[in-house]
Amino acid sequence: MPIFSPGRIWVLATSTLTQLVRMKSFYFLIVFALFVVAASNLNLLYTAAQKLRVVKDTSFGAMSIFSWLFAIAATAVLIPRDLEDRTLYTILSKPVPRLEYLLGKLAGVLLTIGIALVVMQILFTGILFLREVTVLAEERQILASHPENTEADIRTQLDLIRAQGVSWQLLYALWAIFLKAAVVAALTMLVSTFASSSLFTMIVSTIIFLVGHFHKLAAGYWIQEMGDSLVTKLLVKPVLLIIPDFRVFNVVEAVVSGQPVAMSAMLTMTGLAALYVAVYSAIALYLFIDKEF
Amino acid sequence: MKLRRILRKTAMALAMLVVFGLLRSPVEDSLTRRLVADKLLMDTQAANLSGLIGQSAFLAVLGGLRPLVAIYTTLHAFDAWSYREWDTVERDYRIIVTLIPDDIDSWKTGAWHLAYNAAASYYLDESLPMATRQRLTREWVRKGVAFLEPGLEQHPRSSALHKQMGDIYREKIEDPCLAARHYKLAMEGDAPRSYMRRFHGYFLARCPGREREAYDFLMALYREGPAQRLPTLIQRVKELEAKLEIPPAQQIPEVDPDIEMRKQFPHFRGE
Repeated sequence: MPIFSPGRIWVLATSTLTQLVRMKSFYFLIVFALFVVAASNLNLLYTAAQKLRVVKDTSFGAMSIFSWLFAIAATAVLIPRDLEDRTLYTILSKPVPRLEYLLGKLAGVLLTIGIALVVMQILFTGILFLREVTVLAEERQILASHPENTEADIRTQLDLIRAQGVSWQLLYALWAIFLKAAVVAALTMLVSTFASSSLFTMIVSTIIFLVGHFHKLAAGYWIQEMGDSLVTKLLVKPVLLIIPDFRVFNVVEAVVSGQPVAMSAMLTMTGLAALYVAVYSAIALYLFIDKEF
Repeated sequence: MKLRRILRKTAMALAMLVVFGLLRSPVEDSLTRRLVADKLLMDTQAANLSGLIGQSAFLAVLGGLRPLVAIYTTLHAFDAWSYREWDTVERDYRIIVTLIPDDIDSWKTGAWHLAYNAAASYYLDESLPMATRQRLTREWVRKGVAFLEPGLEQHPRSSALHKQMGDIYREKIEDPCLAARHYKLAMEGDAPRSYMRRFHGYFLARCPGREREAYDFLMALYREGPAQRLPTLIQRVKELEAKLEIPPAQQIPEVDPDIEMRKQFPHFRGE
């Protein structure tokens, strides 16, 4: 028997996916579709470009919320659920290393999030594309009805609107959302290996997730207020080191608004997320390896 | 025994997290700096928002839901606009442009609400004495200008924002020199439209001391062909010809459209 088998991890991942699908987690997609359709019909004195931007902002906002919420909720219930169903005993009594069990569970959650994000992206792109076609046609008609607009004027204005439409850059935003969800899922798995209940895991992970967005900002202000003393450093530094910095994954907002992002920055971000997942999985394994059930 | 094992494992796990933190911090800090420099991450200005939008919305902003908070604030501003609560509209648009400073349309809409809608609303408010109405009108027009200024600092090449500022100076403040200046910046900006050149010329013609420059500019447009020879351009050139005492041989052949209009309609006063 191989010490480490990707095949076994895959089996565990797909069974986790089935388990999560049976929990009706994909019902969220119906809510998402309704949300995007509603956003695409929202008109608050919006210009043509803003109409498209609102569809993007609401869709990526919804994707972002879904992904981290799902990453926490799904990962938090997995191990306790397996314990409750006694599936955990069946799996661990077979020659399945605990590392593979943890990685399989994590991969299952990430697979579910990945599939949901891809479906949401397809839905959103379709709606954005249709909206873009309609908005461009309307705007062309309006611009052409004003004789002072030359063909070059019309082209420039339509290009500005197109910049807010469907583009490949939006996939970077989707990837950043997935990376953040992956880190959150790995963190939740780590918490769940020592937590006493799913609720505890969810609460602790949510708190860490929220604090991870502003702890650096808060630490900066605190040091400014309290002075850069040794005591302050001893209090602040461990928090900064232990809690992950989720802010680096917030590029989604800028990418969605049309800011170009360098491939090298995305690669660094991917590497960082992979490192988080690897280290959190390793620590989770350390805590889980001799845990008695 | 069990407790000791738990404590040992917890200490070890925390130590691993600290070591990992020490290793990742330089990479994270450098990536954050780079993303902030590339305008992909919001800078510390987010902290200034905490007093304006409340703690929960502030958390949402930090949590990567900045555009959603901006959409909610736009809804709020729309509601305030319906009830003519101009202070709320101003506050909301200040929040919106802090949240999404790259959205040119939000700068434009905010300035339009303040300089046009709020100013007109106060001017038409018959419950106030005339002097107060005029004072408030001027005040809100100034607020519109003040709102747009940081937008222009952040987007110095935005044709749309310079055009908006030019419009305010033209229609609300009636300062042809500043209007001409902003139309010039609009025509040299990122998305110029052909009429912006004419507008620059029209208001430069009304700017004291710059008549010669305006005449040369408008004549250059005139020479481009019939597409540019619109009634206002002809009228301004004729006006400048008279002011600059251009010899008849060098004057354009067209007749001032205002003179033609006055012949047909004696009460017509032109612009």
